[in-house]
Amino acid sequence: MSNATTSQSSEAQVATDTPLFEIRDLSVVFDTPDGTVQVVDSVDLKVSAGRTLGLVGESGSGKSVTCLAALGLLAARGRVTSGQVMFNGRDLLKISEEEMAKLRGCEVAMVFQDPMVSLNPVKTIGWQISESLCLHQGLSQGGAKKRAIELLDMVGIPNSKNRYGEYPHQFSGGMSQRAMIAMAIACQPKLLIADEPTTALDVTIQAQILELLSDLKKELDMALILITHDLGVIAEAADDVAVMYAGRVVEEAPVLELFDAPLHQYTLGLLSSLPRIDRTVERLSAIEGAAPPPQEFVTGCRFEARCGHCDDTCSGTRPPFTKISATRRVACMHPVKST
Amino acid sequence: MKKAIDTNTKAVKPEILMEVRDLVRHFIGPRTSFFGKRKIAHAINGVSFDLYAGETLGLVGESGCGKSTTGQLILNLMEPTSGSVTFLGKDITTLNKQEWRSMRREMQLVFQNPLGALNPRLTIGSQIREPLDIHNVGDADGRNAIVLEMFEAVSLPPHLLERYPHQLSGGQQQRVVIARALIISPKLVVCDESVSALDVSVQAQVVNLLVDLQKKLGLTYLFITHDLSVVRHISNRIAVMYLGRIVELADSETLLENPLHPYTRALISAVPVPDPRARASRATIKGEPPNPFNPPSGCAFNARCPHADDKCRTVLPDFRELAEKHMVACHHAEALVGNQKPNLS
Repeated sequence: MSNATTSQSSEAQVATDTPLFEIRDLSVVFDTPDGTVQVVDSVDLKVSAGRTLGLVGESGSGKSVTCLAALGLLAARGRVTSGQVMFNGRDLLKISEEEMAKLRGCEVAMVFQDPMVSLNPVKTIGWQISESLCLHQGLSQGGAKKRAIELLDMVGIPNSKNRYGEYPHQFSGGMSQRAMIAMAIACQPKLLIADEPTTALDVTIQAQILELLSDLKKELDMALILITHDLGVIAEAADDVAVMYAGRVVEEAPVLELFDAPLHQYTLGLLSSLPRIDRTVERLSAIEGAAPPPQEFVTGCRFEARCGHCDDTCSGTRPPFTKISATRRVACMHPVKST
Repeated sequence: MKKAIDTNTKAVKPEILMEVRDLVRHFIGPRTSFFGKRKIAHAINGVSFDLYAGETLGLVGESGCGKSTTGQLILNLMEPTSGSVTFLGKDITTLNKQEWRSMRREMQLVFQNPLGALNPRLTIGSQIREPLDIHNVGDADGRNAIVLEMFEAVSLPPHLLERYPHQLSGGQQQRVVIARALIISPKLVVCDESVSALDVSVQAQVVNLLVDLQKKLGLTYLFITHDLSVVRHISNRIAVMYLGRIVELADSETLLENPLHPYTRALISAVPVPDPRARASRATIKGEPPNPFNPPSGCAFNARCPHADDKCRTVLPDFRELAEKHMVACHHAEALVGNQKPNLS
């Protein structure tokens, strides 16, 4: 992460250029035995090539569902009710499943949390990487093997020639995640979505994987969406951040600005409830209560019940996602005043 | 080790609640060939420490380093291969069933996943009451009163007593588990990743609760976690484990501000700090922890250590007191004293 400082500067990219990937007004509902439940409510996100968008939120805030829906990967009961998902000028919600299948794993790739579950236990690691090379790039078996070994080298797996023929159970957690990343970048995707890629890993391995992702992003000039619940990971790896709470994006900002001056009361609460390794705090300032489950989502501000700054304006109508500056937006009636 | 601790005790005179000495636990691996020998994993390889009454000792390390096994061994949930655990003056590894039963009351365990620890078919109230029934505390009315009192102490509204575990949120479930553990007033509570599964905003609530309860009830915690940020907040002292051994043990501030073992340094620098300006300071270590079935000779960290030399590859470093109340197991720790701390901010 030695040269990460250069990519941090928020002014490097102005918000005016067309983003590579943009989600507009996306809503997702799930049909449950108790009726329809809206889990994602008019979400807007965008990311440009070469940038990392950190999508942060607590469990159940809808961050994974948003990305799964955008790639047409929702489970049978999930439905997209509105919105557009623009990728390279095309609306992914309008294209056929066949075209989508061509796109997934090729131009858009995903890495999931638990590599041990995502890998097929009865196929060799090498076979699993070669598969997408043969499918999407039409390589011969020999060519795919050669390329797969190159990819294993690229993601830092030592002794890649022998490792090619090994099975997932012979790989440690960190190595499996590297293999998953090799698989994801096999066709040089323009967009990589990493859903909690380091959550199941130890900190020393997490640091290695984050470094690898950031190196690959530069090397391949990808756009990266990093989904995580860990603000430490966000601070470490993201350029821009979108904070989600209860199915909505509540704040959007470049990473430095978000940590320096959070605008939404929830973001502020989240930042001050973190235990810190770099300083001693007498007492953690916890946010009271818990995030509501999707069945109890209200139209007004969903953080109201846990917020110390709410009044009558907060309930009833959804707080508008207001533009504060060229790069910042917040959905709060009483944003934090900068001091 | 013992000598070093004794000198400390004279200075401060804290009461020792538990003494763990040379704890070893082996696990026998699966049979790989019909006639071949089964391999032995040295999960715990000579762990010694003291727990002082009323303190919180944080036990940190990566997965597979033996921190949870240590927790289970000191609660006698697993028999050690060798070594002793002295609690309230008795070696608990040699107790018979009856003696053990009365001793059991004094120590409790809080796990990571509350939903897994709670019985899905019993109401919250009856689960919290169960320990009182088992240990025959008071009469029926008295027990219900204690349950209510405990419920209030973990800040849960009384109407939840009639609910079932699945009707509660994750944070509430963990409060229930804590209430159940504390209701028979134990002296020692082992928290094994107790707050790791919770979202940050809820995690802060539970951490605060644990701190409050400790002050109120005079509890001693062994706080097992992989999360160094939480451990800094909650612990008085921290022990860092690597492949079945404690490699460094010191007061929390000392350990995190002035770590002496290269592994501790690596671990601290790998923790992502929620401050984007702190990015560049990272020094990642290469490689992964070694396999406990096939531990390296000498210092277990030698393959990943930037300071390793021939001595490290052959001779196991002693766990010694290098500075006051600061124990470390590294041949080169002297060279690291005063050497600037890992850049955190």
